[in-house]
Amino acid sequence: MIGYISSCLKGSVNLVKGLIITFKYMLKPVVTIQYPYEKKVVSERYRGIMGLTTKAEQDMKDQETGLENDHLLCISCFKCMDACPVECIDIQREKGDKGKFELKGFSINFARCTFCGLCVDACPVAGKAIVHTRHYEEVFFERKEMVFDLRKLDLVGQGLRPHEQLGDQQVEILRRVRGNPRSFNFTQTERESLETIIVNGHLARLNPEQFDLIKKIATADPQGSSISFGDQDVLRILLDENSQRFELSTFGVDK
Amino acid sequence: MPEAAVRRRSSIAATIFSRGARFAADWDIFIVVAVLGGVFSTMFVVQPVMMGLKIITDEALAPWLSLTLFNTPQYSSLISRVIVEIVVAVVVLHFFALSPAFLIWLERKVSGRIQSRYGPMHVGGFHGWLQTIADGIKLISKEDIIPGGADKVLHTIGPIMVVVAAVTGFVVIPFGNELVPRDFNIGIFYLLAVTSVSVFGVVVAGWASNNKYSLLGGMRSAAQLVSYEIPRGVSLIGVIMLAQSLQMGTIVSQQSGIGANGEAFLAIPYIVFQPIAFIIYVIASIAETNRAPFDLPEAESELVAGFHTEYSGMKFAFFFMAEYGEMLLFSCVATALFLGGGSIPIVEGYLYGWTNGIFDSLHVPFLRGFWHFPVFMIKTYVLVFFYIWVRWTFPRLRVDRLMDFSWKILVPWTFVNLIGLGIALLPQFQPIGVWVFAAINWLIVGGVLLKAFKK
Repeated sequence: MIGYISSCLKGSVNLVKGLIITFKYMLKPVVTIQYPYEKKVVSERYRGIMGLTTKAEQDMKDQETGLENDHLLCISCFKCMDACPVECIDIQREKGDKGKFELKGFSINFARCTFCGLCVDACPVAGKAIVHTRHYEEVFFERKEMVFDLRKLDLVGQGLRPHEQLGDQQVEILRRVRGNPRSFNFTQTERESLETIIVNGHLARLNPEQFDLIKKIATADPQGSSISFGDQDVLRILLDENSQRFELSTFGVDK
Repeated sequence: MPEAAVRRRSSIAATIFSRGARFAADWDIFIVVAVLGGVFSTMFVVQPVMMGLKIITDEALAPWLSLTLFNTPQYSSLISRVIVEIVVAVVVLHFFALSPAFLIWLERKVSGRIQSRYGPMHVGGFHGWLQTIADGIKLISKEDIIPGGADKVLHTIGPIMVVVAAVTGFVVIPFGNELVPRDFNIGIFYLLAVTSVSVFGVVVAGWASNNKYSLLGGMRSAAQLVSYEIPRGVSLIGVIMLAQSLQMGTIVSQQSGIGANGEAFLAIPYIVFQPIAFIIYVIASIAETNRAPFDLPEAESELVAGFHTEYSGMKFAFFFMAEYGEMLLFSCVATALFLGGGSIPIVEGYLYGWTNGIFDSLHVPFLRGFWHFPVFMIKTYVLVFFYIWVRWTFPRLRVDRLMDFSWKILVPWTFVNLIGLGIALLPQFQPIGVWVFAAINWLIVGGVLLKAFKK
């Protein structure tokens, strides 16, 4: 009899303990990432799709050569091509007028690429001319789309998805945003043409209303404001006294 | 600028225009929407209609009826009765039909949270609030399949019986002081009789489907419901003994601290005297609704889908709706019988008398006890939440242990409770006997809770 009652009570205690555990879990934060709307922040060392690195703005002025593809760091030395175990890299170069090799073509076949990173290790350029970006969601309908040519790799390196079509002026702005120092002045025409800007490696399409909102937020607090898209893509804006100069920092604002 | 401040601003800006911000689900928002949405949406629909019914009297209808052929007193009283009955029926039906939509959404959200995920987030834009409606539309538009070897008539009658059993129970629920569709003097008896009809629906559905899984599910359901009917009924007898009445309205008013002559005293819900009976009632009614951990009739690991294996479209939706409707019904019953219905504990009697004076002096007598329905629904939804919480906590019982649990644990405890209360209510132990019995009850319940909460 005593045993029956005590077992009943012990059982009840354990049931209540179970209820307490589930209640605690209910109050804990959710771990789901709502994928198409939120994106996982991957590590800086993530081996995503390959891209070609652009020179910093300062270096671009110093090392002005007037050659084609001069903005890229690549010196077309073929070392990555040799290092590649699946031979997916193809580089074309020509000897230029000034005795310097001029990069004519650079393609990577991502149908073959194993994302092993040996090309990055082999790159002799300081700062690495070929890098793994943090893109992980390239999808293709046809195999031939998987071969990226120089322009696409350039865009990938600048944080653009290659299938996003941008006007020349926008690409120019983006190049300046991505370069060092990470600030730039919008002119009036640029501001009008800026419908899309890069936000931490992802494209965010801003309509004029949203652009005004950004400006309003920046104006409200001159010390600096930041805006996040889906909790992850962070754009920091600093506005100077004349309300003309936005500083956009789009890098490395991980959670 | 400090990092924390930047973070905060970023989240504010995100809520302004980021599409992703919709999914930055905040727990506090969820709770507010769940509770207030459920309670007040029903309040604003049910309460005014029920109050409006008081306007429909013979006198009010007389000028209108005098324009028609029914210009005699018998006719006018009959017609006003019919109108009132129809309106009550429509209100109760809608309450029954719309609540499951909200409850299913709530269940999916709570279960998601318990499993560290969101639950439905997309349909309707805000936290998937239209998900159930979308599912309902899908089910309505689906083909209604009757298997070749099935008994066509019984196959159709099964789900209808289950739904009817669930919806008719709402007839005696006292949602507020005067908000009772029909206050029988044998309310509890009627309730027990009507809700146990659902077992016939399940058995008929299982039999008519001509499928071994359905039949097994139906038979299991019969065994389970018959077993759990006993502790459920017996645990209510304690309340009947305390209230000396089977009428739901009387039982609620006895807990709301308003005497027969309008004098006020302390409002004490019967859960104070009968905590163990309350717990047993809740457990037994979980089994009655065929919900986890007692969902043996539809155990998918053994029986595919149990008694509703062969059902599709709206007939399946009927079973689904009946489950949630019954869950709501049993919560309503527990609220009325154990938690004091729509009354606020302790202060209700004094508050009611005081506000009545105010409302009468302001010539707004229809506002009397306006909080009854919201309070009733809050209590009910706390219980409903408990049902959901239990479902997502415990695994399913084994068949033999299910029977053991009813016959060897619930039934003995209910009878001990009943005998103890009977002794405590003897005239020679009055008035202290009931309180001693309540203290013993709470010693057991409090000991279990303390032990569980202690690390």
